[in-house]
Amino acid sequence: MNITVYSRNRFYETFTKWDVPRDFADPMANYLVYGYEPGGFFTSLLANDFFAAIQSSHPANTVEALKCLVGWINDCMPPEAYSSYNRVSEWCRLPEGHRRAILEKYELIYTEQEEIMLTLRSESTVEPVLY
Amino acid sequence: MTDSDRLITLLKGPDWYAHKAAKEMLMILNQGKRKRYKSMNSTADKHLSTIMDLFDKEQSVRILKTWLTTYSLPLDPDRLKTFDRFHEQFGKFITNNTELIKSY
Repeated sequence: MNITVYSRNRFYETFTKWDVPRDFADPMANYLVYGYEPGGFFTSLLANDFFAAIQSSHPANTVEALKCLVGWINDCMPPEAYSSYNRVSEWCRLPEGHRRAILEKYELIYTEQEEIMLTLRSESTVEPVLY
Repeated sequence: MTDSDRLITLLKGPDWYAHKAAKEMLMILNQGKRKRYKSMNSTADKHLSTIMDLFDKEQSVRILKTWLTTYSLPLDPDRLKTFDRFHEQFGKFITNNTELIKSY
């Protein structure tokens, strides 16, 4: 799925609301938008598997950052994309169009029509700053 | 559009048509009638369908961009009957080339 800079910035704006660090935001964005496998730690986290998540967690991950990410997942992530291993693998297998429709429904990205109008109007957009 | 109008439009080119059509839509908007937006949208539909028939992809996109940026016309895709066709034909080109379109 190809999204414009407008949708990308809208998506990342949700991470700034929850102070999610970039190291956590990028894999989440790649997982939701492109359907990339999020890796062992994030897969376990999204599947609600606490033990496996802690076992595969990188030593640099902090509890503070994890709290922010969990807040973001609860608030912004489409329920279709988390809560079990099955859902995570299904999300990665979803066709682009389906993924896009779900992300549009939860207002994480703009619709294609909105993207066209924003591009043609040359609206300004600012890339959100993540720490 | 008659054949001679078609020929004249092609000879005068997309820039001329962009400004001519935009001025026509602005005039409708400035008439002060209650239903001026409806009337402007139907005129926009007519012009949008003409540009898609007459001009190529880049020229059509440039014309619509002129209407939206230079003339700030309040075009609403939900109210334009031809926008779905425009979306189908040029949507991917626009969303894949945002930087190029900024330079138009």
